[in-house]
Amino acid sequence: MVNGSVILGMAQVFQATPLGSQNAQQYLLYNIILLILWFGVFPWFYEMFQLWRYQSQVSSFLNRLRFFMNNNISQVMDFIANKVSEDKHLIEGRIRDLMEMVIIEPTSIEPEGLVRKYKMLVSSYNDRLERDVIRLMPSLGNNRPMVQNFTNVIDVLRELNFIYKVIDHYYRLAMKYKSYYLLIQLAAILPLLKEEIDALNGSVPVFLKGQPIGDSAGPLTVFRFKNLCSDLNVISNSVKDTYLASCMFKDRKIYLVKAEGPGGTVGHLDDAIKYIYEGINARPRLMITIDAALKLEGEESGSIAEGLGVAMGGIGVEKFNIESVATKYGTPIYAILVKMSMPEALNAMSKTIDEAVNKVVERLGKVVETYTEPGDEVVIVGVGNTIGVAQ
Amino acid sequence: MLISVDLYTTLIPVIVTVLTVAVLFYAVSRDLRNVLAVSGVRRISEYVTLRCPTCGYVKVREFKVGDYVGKVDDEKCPNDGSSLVIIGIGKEQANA
Ligand SMILES: [Zn+2]
Repeated sequence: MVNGSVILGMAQVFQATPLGSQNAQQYLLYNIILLILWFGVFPWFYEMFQLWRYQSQVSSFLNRLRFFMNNNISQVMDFIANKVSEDKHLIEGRIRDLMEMVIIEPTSIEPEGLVRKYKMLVSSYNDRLERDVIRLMPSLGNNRPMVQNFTNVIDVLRELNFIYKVIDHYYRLAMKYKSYYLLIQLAAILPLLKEEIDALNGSVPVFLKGQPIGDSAGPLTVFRFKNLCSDLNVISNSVKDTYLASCMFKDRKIYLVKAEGPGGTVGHLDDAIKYIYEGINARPRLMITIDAALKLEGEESGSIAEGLGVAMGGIGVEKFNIESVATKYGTPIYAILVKMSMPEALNAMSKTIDEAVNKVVERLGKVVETYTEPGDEVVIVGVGNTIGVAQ
Repeated sequence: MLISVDLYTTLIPVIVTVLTVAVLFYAVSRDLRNVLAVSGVRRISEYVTLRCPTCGYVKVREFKVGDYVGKVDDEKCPNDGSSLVIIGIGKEQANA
């Protein structure tokens, strides 16, 4: 009965709309309740709801990511199941250890020699991963492409794990302090991360199978261009993991540079270019770099852009070294870019990119003809991961 | 009169609540779909392009593990019998 009278009382309050107001006190009460509802209760509800909404987004994203990682690891284990003889549990545990590997960037308080430090760090990281893979599965030891591809897979897993840990950290912080704005920021970057994670996740089976990826467009261009020229002469054993050759194309001497395939590696292109200038003492008239570039949303996949400068991603170590050499000897650098999205760059090469490479080869011929004279020397650099592309 | 007031004051909140829950549910499920959706690229086939180095004969076949660009394939050219070389590996997809 008490409840009933309360409801009745409320009903009277609500009935006392401004139109029929006879009792000033009831009118005031009505307005106060409305005020509290609008400015106290509703916003609070709204914030709770938003918090819950963003929370569910971020947590399901994290679950998804965890699922991806486990799924990828089991794919790796399936793949090697009948290829290696070592203990599978040990391998899986070791892979999970490698995923936790930390790389500490050199300090930049004093920038002197930073590029050399980075180069040293990157190459020792690659060496270490490769050696770990061989130690993990000695039976793979004599199959270098396989070891390189496996190294790539572990690199991808490490990156997925890193993204997971960082997002998880901020998610936990946001939940610990019920921080609305931290959660909103997390939820806001999810679409960008999702793109990256889809790309990384899709790349694991491709790396395992050793198929060319979108990023292989540069090396593939060099491979196809090689078929157009004559008098091929491989300059062997000059630089580790890097293919260097000279050939003739329309009376120009062409130096071809790419990572050495078909294992997944980006090679040491800067060292190869340095070798061309200082080992062979060539004085190229023009240097052309070809690379896959991330497209903007409005741009079409497989569209080709030309420009000036070194077309090359990554930390910028090799880019810096190539620029330094080219500047020292006054060689202009021409760039040809194949535009693609992040998932395309890291997944199996799509038909669009495959066809775009043919167009790039055509353009390359035209660029060489237009900007150099017969008798000149030209360097052509295919930048990118050469997985699945030999020479 | 009291009864009509009661109906009014109880029905409206119920309707509002139901509508709100429906809208919220829709909003959240749409969010989750956006976050969880696997990108709409469906893989159909992975192909290998083979080319004869002497006469330029071109052939396309299914990708096998172990194939790489530059590999000299077991298959022979029907025109002159030289070994075909892989010059491209790609995938065709339903929607790019
Ligand atoms: Zn033939």
